[in-house]
Amino acid sequence: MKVLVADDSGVMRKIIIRVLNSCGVTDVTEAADGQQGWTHFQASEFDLVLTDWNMPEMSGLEFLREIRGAGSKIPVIMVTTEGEKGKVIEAIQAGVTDYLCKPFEQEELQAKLDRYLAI
Amino acid sequence: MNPLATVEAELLASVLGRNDRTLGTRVDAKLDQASVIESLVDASESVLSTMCKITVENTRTSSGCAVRRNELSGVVGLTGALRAMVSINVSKDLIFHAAESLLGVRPTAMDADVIDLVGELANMIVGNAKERLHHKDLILGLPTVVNGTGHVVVFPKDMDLSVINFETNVGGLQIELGIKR
Repeated sequence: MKVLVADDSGVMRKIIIRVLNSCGVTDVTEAADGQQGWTHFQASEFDLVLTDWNMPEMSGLEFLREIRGAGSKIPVIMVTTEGEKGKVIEAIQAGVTDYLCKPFEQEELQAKLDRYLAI
Repeated sequence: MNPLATVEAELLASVLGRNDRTLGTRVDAKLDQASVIESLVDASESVLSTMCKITVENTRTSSGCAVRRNELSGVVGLTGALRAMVSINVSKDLIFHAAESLLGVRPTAMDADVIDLVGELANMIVGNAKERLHHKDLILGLPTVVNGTGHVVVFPKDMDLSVINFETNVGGLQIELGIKR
């Protein structure tokens, strides 16, 4: 199982990776923005993507649109502070698979990961 | 806007349902000082208890500048319908506890992770407060972190200032808010 985590906060990536490790996932690639994420995505095969929304260079939404534009159906979970209805709809229409608003309990993220890692 | 398919509508309902439970369903957005202070208090309690298992209680809110000198501050701006600047001031003890809770290891020094965490917590608290205000035309800026014992965050002169004090179970937390007149 190979997972790509895109977030401009290094510490948030570590928090997410800690939860991934607790789910048994150790093959994790990190990206500090959507552009880096897209570069990694094109260069390798992943089973799951977790992305923040607000990032420099390329936002999580743009990154998601690139993934779907390339025809990929990989599960993409948006992990973000953006909780406004219009934003959530925008992400859903762009093809997001699941959505988790910050702040979250680690168990909440774990429950979502369990769902997609089991596929 | 195209109607959502069943799966998408279920996802939307699930996300908005969680938000209603955690953020409240206030619909008449007021952007006065009292509403912003209330949303910051609620957001601080929510973010620190949910993410870091830190209990937070608002003890006193006053007008004017903070008297206390700071150890670490995460400063975030809000623009759009409101021009505001928020400084989340935390003690070393509090941020070390938060780091231990989130990363599983207590830091021994003020390293890059600790500095990054101050910015991330400030981003989450102000972002969560913004969501609680339920106002579409509010834009969250990127956080800036100030590290240095005894520092003071200086606000622009055309802002009305408030200081929100908290008691926590692990260390100091104070929020300074400036709203442009």
